[in-house]
Amino acid sequence: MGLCACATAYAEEEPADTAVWNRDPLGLETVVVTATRTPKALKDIPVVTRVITAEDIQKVDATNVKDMLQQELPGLEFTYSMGQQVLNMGGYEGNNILFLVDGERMAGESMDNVDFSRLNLSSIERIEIVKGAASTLYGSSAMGGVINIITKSPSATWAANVNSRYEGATKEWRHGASADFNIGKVNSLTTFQMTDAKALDLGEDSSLPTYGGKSYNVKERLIWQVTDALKLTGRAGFFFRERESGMVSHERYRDVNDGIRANWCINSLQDLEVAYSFDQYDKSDLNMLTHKDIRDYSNRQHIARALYNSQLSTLNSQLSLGADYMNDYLMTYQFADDHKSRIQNSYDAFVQWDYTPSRHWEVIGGVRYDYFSAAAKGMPTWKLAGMWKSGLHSLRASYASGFRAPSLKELYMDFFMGGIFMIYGNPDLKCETNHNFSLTWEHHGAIGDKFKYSTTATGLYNFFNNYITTATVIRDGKSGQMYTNIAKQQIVGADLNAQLHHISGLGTKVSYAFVKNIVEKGKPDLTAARPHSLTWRLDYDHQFSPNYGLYVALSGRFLSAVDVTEYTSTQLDEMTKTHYDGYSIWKLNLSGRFLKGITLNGAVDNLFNYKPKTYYANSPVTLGTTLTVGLSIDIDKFF
Amino acid sequence: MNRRKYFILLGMVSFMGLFSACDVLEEVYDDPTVEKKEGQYYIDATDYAQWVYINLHTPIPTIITSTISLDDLTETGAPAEWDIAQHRYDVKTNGAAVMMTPYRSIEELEAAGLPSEGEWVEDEESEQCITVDMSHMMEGYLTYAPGHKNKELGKWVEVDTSNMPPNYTMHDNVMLLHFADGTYAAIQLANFMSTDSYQVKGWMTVNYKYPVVFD
Repeated sequence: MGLCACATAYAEEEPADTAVWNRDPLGLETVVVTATRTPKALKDIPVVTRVITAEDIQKVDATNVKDMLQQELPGLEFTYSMGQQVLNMGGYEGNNILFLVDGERMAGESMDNVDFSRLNLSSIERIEIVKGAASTLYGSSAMGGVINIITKSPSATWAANVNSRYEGATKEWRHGASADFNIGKVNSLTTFQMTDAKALDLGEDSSLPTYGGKSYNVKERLIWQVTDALKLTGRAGFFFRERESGMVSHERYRDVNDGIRANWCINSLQDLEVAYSFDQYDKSDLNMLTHKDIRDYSNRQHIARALYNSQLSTLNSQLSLGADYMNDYLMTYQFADDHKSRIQNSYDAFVQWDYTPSRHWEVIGGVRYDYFSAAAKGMPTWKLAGMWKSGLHSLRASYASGFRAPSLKELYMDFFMGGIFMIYGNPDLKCETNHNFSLTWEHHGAIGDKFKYSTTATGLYNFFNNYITTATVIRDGKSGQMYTNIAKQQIVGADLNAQLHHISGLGTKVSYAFVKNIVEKGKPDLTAARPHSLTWRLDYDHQFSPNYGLYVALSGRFLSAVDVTEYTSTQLDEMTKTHYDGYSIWKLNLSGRFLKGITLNGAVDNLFNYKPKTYYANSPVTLGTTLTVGLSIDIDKFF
Repeated sequence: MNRRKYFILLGMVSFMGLFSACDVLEEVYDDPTVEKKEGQYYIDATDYAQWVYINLHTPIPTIITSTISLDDLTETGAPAEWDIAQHRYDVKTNGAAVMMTPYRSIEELEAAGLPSEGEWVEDEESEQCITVDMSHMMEGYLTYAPGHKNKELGKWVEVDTSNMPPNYTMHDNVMLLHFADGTYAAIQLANFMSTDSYQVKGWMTVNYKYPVVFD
């Protein structure tokens, strides 16, 4: 059964006490929202959800979501393409992983990936990761999974934090501050973060361009509990990033977003959420010769949505009905001169039924229909997931279909790439689609009074159709590239997780992921996923006295070798394989908590000084061992 | 709802700027137009199959474009009288010698006088002088045309393609040209991108002075 989401959740007074922390060391009671769009405890959801908590973020002292994800999740790798960071997760590329901030989509992309540096982790309560297709709830781009970044709840009274961090390799300074307070029934949360980094010098043989740059990110959120039944949330944010991409021009990225959401608790069984959001993501070049800042890309999205939940007590189930509308505007230098901007409207409606026939069983089914104006095409998706649990064991099985609608760029591109060849869009593109099956066994328990553990094993199978890539075409006697749907492929995978916690604060967590793409005979595997990967953490967390606590963690990640197929020509007959070695990178974190409110972090990253032989697209961008130090002060803890 | 609540609601909505103009960042950016200065020419040298000829001996520079045939690599439309010609970032001279000076403005060069040190570099002939057709790069070959060009002048834009995207370095040193008739001209690259919103590379804005007379 879902939990009532009506009232504003105020954070409990902070703990840092090991005993308190140990009440639920496995996080099974953590309430999440992404998998069902209703708040539910992790242990009650038929769809496996992985959570990275605020404590995890604080302990790692991560700056943005990239740092955090690659440390916590195996089967996930950030690589470079045309100087931009791109993601591969479980065989899926970044445009098939949907990133949300408090459930809201993000505008803008570079090399088909969102701007990860927008996703800073200040004032974040948790990150929820749902692997596998989730299009029935989230629509396009949720074929490979959803990563939802949840902002922290209001404090009971007030809270304020300032923090700084210095990272040795890129000489990056990060400064941040946040404050939230209540005036009557209104809570205000303000967060600010800035970074300033130098370019990493990977040497002359490197094929990876790295750039210095700076960024600013400021966000404001207001929550007004109008009545016990009605809550309004307003937010606004501004982001700026400048990349020192060359002597003649600097690339600039800006984002402005805002939104308002109303949550109405109609009665104890029904609630309604209505929201509007706006996101504008721009790119411009600061010409260092003329000192003019010229915009060449603007993506603006207006989204309106509604979600109605009703608990049906007679059937012991919950019904969710939802609808979304999005107006998507794109102006880009990659469109033809006579048609520099395009607009698409999309509409969808969905229904989900979450049925709990007994305390051992839980079933969720859902259907959805999306319509896209650019191609005047619709796309149905559906899902069915079931869970059986008994005592310390549970089994989850799910089927979900997913899709990604071709982007405006893929439909209408008309771009003379580097003055060398044309890249054409293709208005006849079909949606990428997939069928995703997963089966998960979970077990948790205790060994005596002092140990708690959990293990999960998941098998995944994906049937992926109409993968969109570029292929060679001849137009006007010249070779160019055009976006095309190509062959089917299958992605199989497995995830294994185990964690063990001792009451003293000692804990360990190991996660393994396997992924394999099965392509049609003679066709290339273009997804470049490393088949085996592992992350691990051995940590110790203890509050020795009210004024002193310590956290120590030895963590690491291993990615196996991979041969990446890259075309020398896109005739689909000439290709080359680039071999990337497997590697492991270890990290030692030390975090001291002093006087209740001061946290001093130190980390030695790449502990064993790993350096790749060559720096190329899938190589880790490291020059060896790096030292990071950070200081965070919770000002409110001193009052 | 009492008046205070309406006030808070109004404040929230206006704060969020929900009903502001759709393009909220419009005012942030600059007008790309760049006004041309006196003593400056602006040419389209983007086409790989063209030379853009400049005659500095006329009161204002005379600019004529020739075309190179991709079939037999012959050039048509080249003028009889010219001083320099530009093709993308390549430059050739009509029998001149070129020195890259350390000066960053033509006035600075004139004030300093004729450099006593520095290397005079003449054009070099080669079979694969300029790239005239990039369209077959995807098939693994390019088409070149034979001819001559001045490598010293070509240093004004250096393109490092070892990474993608390529890295461009511009040298805005004043280039001193010593023509066959004994006169001197000075040219200096001011910008190699178009001065419109597209900033297309290969549009060359060049500061020039002819003649430059040294005491």
